[in-house]
Amino acid sequence: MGNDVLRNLRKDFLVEFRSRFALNVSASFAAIVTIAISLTAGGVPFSPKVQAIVLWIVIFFSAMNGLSHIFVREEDQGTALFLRTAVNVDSVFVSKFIFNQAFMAVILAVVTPLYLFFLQVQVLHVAHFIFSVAAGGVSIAAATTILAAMVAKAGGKGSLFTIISFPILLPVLWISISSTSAALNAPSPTGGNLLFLLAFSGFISVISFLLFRFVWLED
Amino acid sequence: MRPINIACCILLLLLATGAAIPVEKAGDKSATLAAGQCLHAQDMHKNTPADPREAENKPEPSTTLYHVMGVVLFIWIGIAIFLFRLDRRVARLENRIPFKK
Amino acid sequence: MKIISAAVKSVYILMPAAIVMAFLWAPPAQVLGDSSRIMYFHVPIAWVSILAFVVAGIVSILFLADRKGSFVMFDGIAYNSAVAGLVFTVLTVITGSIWARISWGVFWNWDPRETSIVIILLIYIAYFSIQGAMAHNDNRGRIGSAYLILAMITLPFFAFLVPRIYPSLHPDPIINADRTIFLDDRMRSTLAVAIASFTALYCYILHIMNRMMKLQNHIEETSHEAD
Repeated sequence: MGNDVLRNLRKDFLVEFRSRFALNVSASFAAIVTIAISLTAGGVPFSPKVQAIVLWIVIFFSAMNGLSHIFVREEDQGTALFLRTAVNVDSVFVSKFIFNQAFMAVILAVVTPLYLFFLQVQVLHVAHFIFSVAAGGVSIAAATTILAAMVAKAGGKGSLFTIISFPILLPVLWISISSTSAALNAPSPTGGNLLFLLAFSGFISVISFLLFRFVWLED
Repeated sequence: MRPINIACCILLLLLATGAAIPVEKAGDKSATLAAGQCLHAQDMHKNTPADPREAENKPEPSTTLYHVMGVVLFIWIGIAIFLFRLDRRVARLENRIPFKK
Repeated sequence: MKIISAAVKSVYILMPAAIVMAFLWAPPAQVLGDSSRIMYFHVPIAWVSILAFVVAGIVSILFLADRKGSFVMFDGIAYNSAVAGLVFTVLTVITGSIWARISWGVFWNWDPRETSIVIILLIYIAYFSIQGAMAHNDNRGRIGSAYLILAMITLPFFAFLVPRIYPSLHPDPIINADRTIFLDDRMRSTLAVAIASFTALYCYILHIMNRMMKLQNHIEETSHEAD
């Protein structure tokens, strides 16, 4: 299984690196939205709560633009059938899961500095801020892996991914927003929210792992 | 969605609105403003005519409640007839089609 | 099968009884007055929308866990339950917002229970979007069921979260059985009859839908065989 996962991951990274399509779309989307908000606000700084909401809305929609690509590409290029027959279902899930986490990390690495730069955000607790963003990103990537597989099976229809992800990611967004806004201005933010995010991502990963075979395999 | 689903939707919607909206009229306005929440000045003003009646302890027997109940029962009868006919039609089809065991 | 169809038909007796009890027999609530009678419709409808959701989830689990092929049509039952549940959820929102308008003065205020029902509504919408996108796809049942299970499993997180985010305005004494300030015996028994009759109504609708699905599948199979 380990070898399969590594081989799959290597292939996924190579294919993605060759075209950089998903990454380009997500990063450009994030940049455009952040700049648009900053431009239209005319340099007026928002309150910390609004800043946190804006950050997570941008992250959520950037992620929605790119995260389904990993499975949609397999179905589009017709490689899904090969992958289904040649590679064990669990290793497919694990490799795609890791790829999505890496992809999400890259998106966060693009979005967060842009956001800090353009929206005049002053972070009070830097470590807590970084951990909040990272934990929220991990949860989003963990929950959307199986959803991406479902969307790919449904024909990769663009907005469907957002629609089906939203109810499941709502708790993540809520908690990430409150955690981020605490990092921006609370006197002493606590780690309870981060713990919730990690628990959620662990839980949803396990459930996705168990359910993945029903989504991926065909009769 | 099949037509049956849509029909169920509409009928149930009717039941709910029929059950709910007229009650607002029937309800005692001063009593509906629960525990001092959201007391608007306008509502207070509307309530004043009702107060002397309460002081006399002779509440007028309201017929609105019966009207509302009539409407709700009527809607229910509609739904019941619809369901009954549907049930019978499905049963007839089931009898006609020989199911494989 | 006979017993089920007899039991669900009790709705023909229970529902008129519930309506008459709700309007004539139950006393008006002390603070809310006659408008509290909407409770005998709103609470059972809300209960049914949760019930339909849970039934859809459990049936989906059975469908996916099934290896012997004894629950072949259970994805269809989950779908039917979700359809009925969607209708009841919309009705819950409507009756609830009317009641909220009467007692709180606003139609909507993101109270925890309102938030939870909206989340269930969003899950239903997502579920039907998937089902709609996968029409004529053999994997439709499996993927829809997997999504329903995934969505159902995240609900406990909401139950933990939502009350911490939004304070509640809901009339707890009316709903919680342990604080019986507003609920006397007649109100409670009316509510029980109303809940029973709406549950029977849901079961009846589900029963009819399942039978129609069975007929439809049978007709499709025989027409395929004829080809």
